Amino acid sequence: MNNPPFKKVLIANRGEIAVRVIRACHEMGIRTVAVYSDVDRTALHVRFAHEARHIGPSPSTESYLRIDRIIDAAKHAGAEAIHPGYGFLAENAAFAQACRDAGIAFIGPPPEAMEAVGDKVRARKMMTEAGVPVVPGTPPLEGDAKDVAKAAAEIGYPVLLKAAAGGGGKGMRIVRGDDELPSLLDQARGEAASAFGDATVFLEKYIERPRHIEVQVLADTRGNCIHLGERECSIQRRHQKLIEECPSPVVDEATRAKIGELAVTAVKAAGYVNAGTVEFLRDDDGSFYFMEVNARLQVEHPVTEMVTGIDLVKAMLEVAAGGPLPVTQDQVSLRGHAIECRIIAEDPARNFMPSPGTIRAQRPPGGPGVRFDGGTYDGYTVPVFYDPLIGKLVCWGRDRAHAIVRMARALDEMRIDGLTTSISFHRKVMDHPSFKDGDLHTGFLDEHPELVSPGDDPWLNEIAVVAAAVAHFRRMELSSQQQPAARDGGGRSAWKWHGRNRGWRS
Amino acid sequence: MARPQPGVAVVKINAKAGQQFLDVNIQRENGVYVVEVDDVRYDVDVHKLEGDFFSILTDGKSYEVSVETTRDGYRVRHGAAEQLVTLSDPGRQARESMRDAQGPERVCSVMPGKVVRLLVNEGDAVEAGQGVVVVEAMKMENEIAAPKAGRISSIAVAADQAVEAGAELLVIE
Repeated sequence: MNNPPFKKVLIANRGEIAVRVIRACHEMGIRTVAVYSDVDRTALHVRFAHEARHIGPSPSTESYLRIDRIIDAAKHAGAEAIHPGYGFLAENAAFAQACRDAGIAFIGPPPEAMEAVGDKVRARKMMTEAGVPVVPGTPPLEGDAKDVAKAAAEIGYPVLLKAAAGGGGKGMRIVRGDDELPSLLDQARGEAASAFGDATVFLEKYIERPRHIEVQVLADTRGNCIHLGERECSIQRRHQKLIEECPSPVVDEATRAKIGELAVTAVKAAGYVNAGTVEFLRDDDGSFYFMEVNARLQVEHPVTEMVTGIDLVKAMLEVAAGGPLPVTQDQVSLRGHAIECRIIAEDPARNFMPSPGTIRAQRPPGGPGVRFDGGTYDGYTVPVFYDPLIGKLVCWGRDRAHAIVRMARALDEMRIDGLTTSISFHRKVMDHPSFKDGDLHTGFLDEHPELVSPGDDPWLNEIAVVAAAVAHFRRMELSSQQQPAARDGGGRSAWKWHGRNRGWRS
Repeated sequence: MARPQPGVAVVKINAKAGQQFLDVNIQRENGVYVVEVDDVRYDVDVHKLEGDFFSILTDGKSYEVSVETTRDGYRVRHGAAEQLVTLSDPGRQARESMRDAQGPERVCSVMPGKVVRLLVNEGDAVEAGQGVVVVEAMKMENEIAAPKAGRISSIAVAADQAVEAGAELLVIE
């Protein structure tokens, strides 16, 4: 083995991503330090790491977001570097700066680059100057409908009216022509005023059936920067990704080279180092528009790893220690296709409502081409304090169709008992003709509501009823053996006795 | 109803799976379960395995299912699919459906969290599916919908109040 880039690394995160980083460290011969909040004392990352340090109460604001406590933990443990994972402090420039001030290597971009890409207005300006296309838009518009119509004509219909002061869809209107602009402008301004106390709106080009396509980049401290192809993440709910894949079904070699170059240009303009992701929207007509840079490791990084054969976490560790990139651009090649399903503790049939609880039993799938990155175990309680990701199921196939059937097979094997998860939803997507055709866009779930409605399959119902009836009958047999005869003799039938248990409607 | 005598008694059950109602007879005969679902007979060889798993063999077919007991009934998983099954005593079902349609219904929080805001006041008329209260859990705001049409007869919580799983939020009559 080569010399490891660090002797000891602290992982400032929890859940599956902490486990993922610990795995990379252990393969490289690096000692690991976990940090944990009250509720995470027995979490998998604590069990896997060589050392573990308590950093506070369960709410993340008092533990995983406490820069001071994490730096203290690293100093006391003698860690030379900190990997932030994703979320929490991963894109917090003050944290990257605090690491630098403490003489600890931050495994991610320098704080200056993080700030440069983190400010959306600044990033948009920087990309425009670097020649990266951004979604055409206007500054805040003060004028009347006539002035706004002029600006809309310059961008080209359809356009999106957006509130300058906020988000969340409030004050937002799609405008498809001059005739409907005046009334929609009034509505948007009125809604913006009541929601944000500010009626100011601006215009943006409306992207029809947009695809979310992002490019993985990797830069070292020696001035090298490469891209590792794209991921398509168009299957989303509430703007959060559910299914990702590499490569995108609509990106060919030439397009890949083009958007890869745009992504490299984008991060170079920001003085970026380490792993990062440049997110684009792709319009139905094939145009790409810059959205934002994610200055961290992405949740969906495994699909890139499966297809390129490059371990991104290891590359991050090497680069953070001043080492070179693992490959040159010429050596990057995509082999086959990988899909990731985020297995979350949410109920798809109830608008993805969180369903935290205790995992009574779990069985991740196995076999060829299957990878499961998880952070749970039998008897583990999914806490209510953090995001509901249980794990990521990733399947590789020689092509997209092969990856889809493999994912379907793996989902059939997978079992998480004790709480409601997204497994059945993912399985339905793998069977959906539009998904198989690669006809994806970020409104996919709205267009196909059958994917999130509770199923009523007569064949499944029959098996389910047989199984439930047998399970119930067995419990009755057991309880009638255990119950003293006098109780039944006292006018309480086994049915009634059982009515006191869960599962029986009484 | 008599309590089951293994190998002797036939137990009658009304089952509901999804939106489908099924009549079930079940008895134990020589170590196997004989289950009739709407007059289709299954001779079922069952082994209880780890966790909630059962291995079921019937007519040469193998089913690996898990049966989890929940507040609402039995949650059965087969492959990646799952279905909620509720079982009840024949005769009770008719009474229950009457009660469900006419009686008051408590709306409870399915998870621990914090009440963000109430979307209704006492006395308001609501439609089935209409949002009545917003609860925040796991960093997300979740709108809880009215399970049936009716009138809000009482509200048990206020905005910013922390609630446990199963806590009553309000009652619809």
